[in-house]
Amino acid sequence: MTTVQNLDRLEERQARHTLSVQSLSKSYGEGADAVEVLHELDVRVEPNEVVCIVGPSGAGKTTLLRCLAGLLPPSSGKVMLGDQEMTEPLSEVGVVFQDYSRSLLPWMRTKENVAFPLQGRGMGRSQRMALAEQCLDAVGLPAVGRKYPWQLSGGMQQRAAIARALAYQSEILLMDEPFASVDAQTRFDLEDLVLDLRKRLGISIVVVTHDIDEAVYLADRVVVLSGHPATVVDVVDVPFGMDRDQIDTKADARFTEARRRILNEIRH
Amino acid sequence: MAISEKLSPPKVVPDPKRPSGPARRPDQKRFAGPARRRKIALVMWQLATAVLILLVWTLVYASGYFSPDLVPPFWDVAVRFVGLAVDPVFWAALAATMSSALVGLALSIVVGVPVGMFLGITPAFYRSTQFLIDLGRSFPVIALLPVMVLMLGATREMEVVVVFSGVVWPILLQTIYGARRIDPVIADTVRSYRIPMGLKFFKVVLPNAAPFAVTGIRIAASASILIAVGVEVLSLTPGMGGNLARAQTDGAPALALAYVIYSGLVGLVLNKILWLAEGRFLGWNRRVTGGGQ
Ligand SMILES: Nc1ncnc2c1ncn2[C@@H]1O[C@H](COP(=O)(O)OP(=O)(O)OP(=O)(O)O)[C@@H](O)[C@H]1O
Ligand SMILES: [Mg+2]
Repeated sequence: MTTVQNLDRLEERQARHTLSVQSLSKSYGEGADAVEVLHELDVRVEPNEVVCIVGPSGAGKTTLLRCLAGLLPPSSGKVMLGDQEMTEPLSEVGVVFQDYSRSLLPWMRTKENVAFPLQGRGMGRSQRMALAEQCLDAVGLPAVGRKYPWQLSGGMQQRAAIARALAYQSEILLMDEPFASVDAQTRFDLEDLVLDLRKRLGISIVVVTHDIDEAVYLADRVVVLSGHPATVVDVVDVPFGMDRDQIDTKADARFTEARRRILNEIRH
Repeated sequence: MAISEKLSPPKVVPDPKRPSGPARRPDQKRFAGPARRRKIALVMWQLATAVLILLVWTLVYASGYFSPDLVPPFWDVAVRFVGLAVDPVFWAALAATMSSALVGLALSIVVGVPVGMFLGITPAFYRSTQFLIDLGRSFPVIALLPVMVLMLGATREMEVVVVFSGVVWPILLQTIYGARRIDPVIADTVRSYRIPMGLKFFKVVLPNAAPFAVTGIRIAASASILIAVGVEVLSLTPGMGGNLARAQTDGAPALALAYVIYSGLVGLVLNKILWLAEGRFLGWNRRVTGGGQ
């Protein structure tokens, strides 16, 4: 397997909509047992932006992402795509789940998995297979379409899940701890893939992560969640633009500064 | 990208010598040797167990504690066993029993799988019928036998009905379980990619339930032979069980035991065939769960 990516054949799908939550609160449970997990959050994801959401374990990051995806109704407040309120998953938003190994369907070959959401849209077989092929190509998996997901390594499965989100042609990509269980090298490759996708396709990307280095490396803005219930304690702007580099960017003084600031906020 | 590529050791290149077709896991080859040795060891143990059983049997026989009319020596049974294999009466009995069992099994698949799928995807119906299903599966079917014999006589139809009412439950329950037990991550995936209902049913719910339904069918297949033979023994309906019971009352215990052994073998073979078919069509499931028999 090589990591050579071929984004050239993919269409641009320049993000047009801002995805945002407005004083979003979410509680689990009913009545006296209700536990508030998120308290009055305001988060905006502008077109073509990468926003990272960091916070300690159990802070409510997955909860926020599922609200952003339209999978979970907020207890109060709103999720907005442009000026439309989101009450169910929309085709503008694609999701890559934390548990990629369970999110690919084990009874379908990898290419069929990638093409499956397109079938739901009524796209013809040859057309969707061709697009699936291109998307697998784009994430550096040109030769595995006929294999089943369980025949792929963890990193390859994660790429396949990203390819499926790309094939769905959404303009906003939501990723929940996408690289938490791959080795460090694969992780760097996938981070660079994310940056590449943003730059070349013009999509917006939201990444939930535990890893502060990863957040600062990927993001234009880092949203820091903390507390019980979680609130937005800080939004850190990261001024590195579209072109970043695993070594030079991470050695930059501004990188270290942003990292220190976020670490302090999460500890307290 | 550029730098991480420089840092990275050469990536795994697909091996051109590797046969195409279903990819092997790399570990399969490495353990081929020990696996074969384990298999030989297993067969040795099975042989040893068989010899031990025959030994105990012979000791019991030789002790004279039971009359030879109850415990015949195993060589008498072996003679009967071989004799049956060339006896048309036996083959007719086998065909009769098998056809009752398989017709009963087929009916319970035709009823159990669709009803199970329906109940699995409609929680309201499932909740309202759960009580009936729990009652049905705990009901001792053999207790139905006298009533059935009165209603239908000691006939093949009666036998099929009893087999059906015994084996439809595991199929129904397993199918319901499989249709309901969708991984929450898959449920989220299906929802966020806006997969329409019909497509979801055929490409997600159905394949998800299939391994469970097949397990139910395998359980049901073994049970269908047992129930068919049991019904024949009790009601003297023609078939292996009828012949078995008659051999017993006629004072031919070796013949009766030979029939018992054949009944067991038939169940075993049927189970094995289904197991192989399952591996062929639902191989992905065994790979994913790493399951074995
Ligand atoms: N379905 C649910 N019902 C009740 N409580 C839940 C549910 N899902 C999550 N919670 C609770 O909400 C809180 C936040 O969970 P969430 O999964 O959003 O955290 P997270 O930040 O993603 O954690 P991690 O970093 O470990 O993935 C946790 O305390 C959790 O116990
Ligand atoms: Mg989480």
